[in-house]
Amino acid sequence: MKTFKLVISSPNGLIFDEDVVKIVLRGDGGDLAVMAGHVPFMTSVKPCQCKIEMVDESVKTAHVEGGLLTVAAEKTTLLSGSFKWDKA
Amino acid sequence: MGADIKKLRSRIKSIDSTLHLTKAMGLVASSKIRRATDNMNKAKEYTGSLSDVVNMLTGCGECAKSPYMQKHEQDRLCLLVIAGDRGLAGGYNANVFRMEKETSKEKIIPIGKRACERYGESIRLVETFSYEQALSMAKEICDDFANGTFDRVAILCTKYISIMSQEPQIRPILPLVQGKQSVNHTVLFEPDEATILNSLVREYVASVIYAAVRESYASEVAARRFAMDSAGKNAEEMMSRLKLQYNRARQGAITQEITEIVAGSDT
Repeated sequence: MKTFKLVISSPNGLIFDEDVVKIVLRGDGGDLAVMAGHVPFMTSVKPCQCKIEMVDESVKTAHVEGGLLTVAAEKTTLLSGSFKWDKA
Repeated sequence: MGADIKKLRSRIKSIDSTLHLTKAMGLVASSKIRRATDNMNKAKEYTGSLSDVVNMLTGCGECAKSPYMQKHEQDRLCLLVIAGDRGLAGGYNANVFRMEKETSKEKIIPIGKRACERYGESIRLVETFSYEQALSMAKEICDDFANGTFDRVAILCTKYISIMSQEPQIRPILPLVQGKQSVNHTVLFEPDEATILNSLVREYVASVIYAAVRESYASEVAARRFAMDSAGKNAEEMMSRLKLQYNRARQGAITQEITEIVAGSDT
């Protein structure tokens, strides 16, 4: 299974920095998923539930109020001041 | 002579309690300084990443039409003033207020107990200032700017240079300045650069406010530690001088008593 590096950053520091399989969230143009090999891409994030598919096939969920998603060849970055993990 | 000794003793006691106070406040500031600088660096890093993106977006032609990039004809300034929550931090608060006095502005939004008390607003503490508070302030400021209530928005905060030195400065926030970096055409923008910029501005302004608050707080704690260190040194110097005077006075009193006893026994 192909993976890519996902970094989630907030004003209070780094929240997440791991290899993942997929991230699903809501961009300016609607829901979107990013997987390994995605073209370089940038969108602002709308309030939504964000799903992250991990390498071990588990899924982590979080709530995002807004932010910016940047997909580059070396890593995908989500900058958000309102990223909160859902309770397990 | 007896009155002198009593006076000196009470002064020594009072300076000793001041010394204890400055030592305790210095220790509290020392314990807070590491966390404060850590938080400042984290907030700065986040703001740096966002401002790189904003610089790139403002460099594109389409974004020049954004309401947040328009220069207005008038010069009504909305100034966010960040001062400390407490005093006893040397010239930290006074320097901020002096700079605020020298600046012409239309409206002041204070952050920090001292600033809120000075401008008669409800208290917003610097130490516990959250990103959510910054975001709600940013929404209000951006709306006011876009509606034309203000022509410029700036923030008066204290720059943390080192643990020994901090200086107040005014940082412009709005209108956004055109970036020199050109847009990378290999990147796909969803839906387009201008829409992304307009949705990102509030988050960007909030992060700038939050980073300035965290930096000002680190400066406040560092200034307090430095002020308490020098106050402690002064108190110690004063104590040793007073102790010398006290011992001399005490010795003088004893010598006089002995002289009087000897003189009495001789007669």
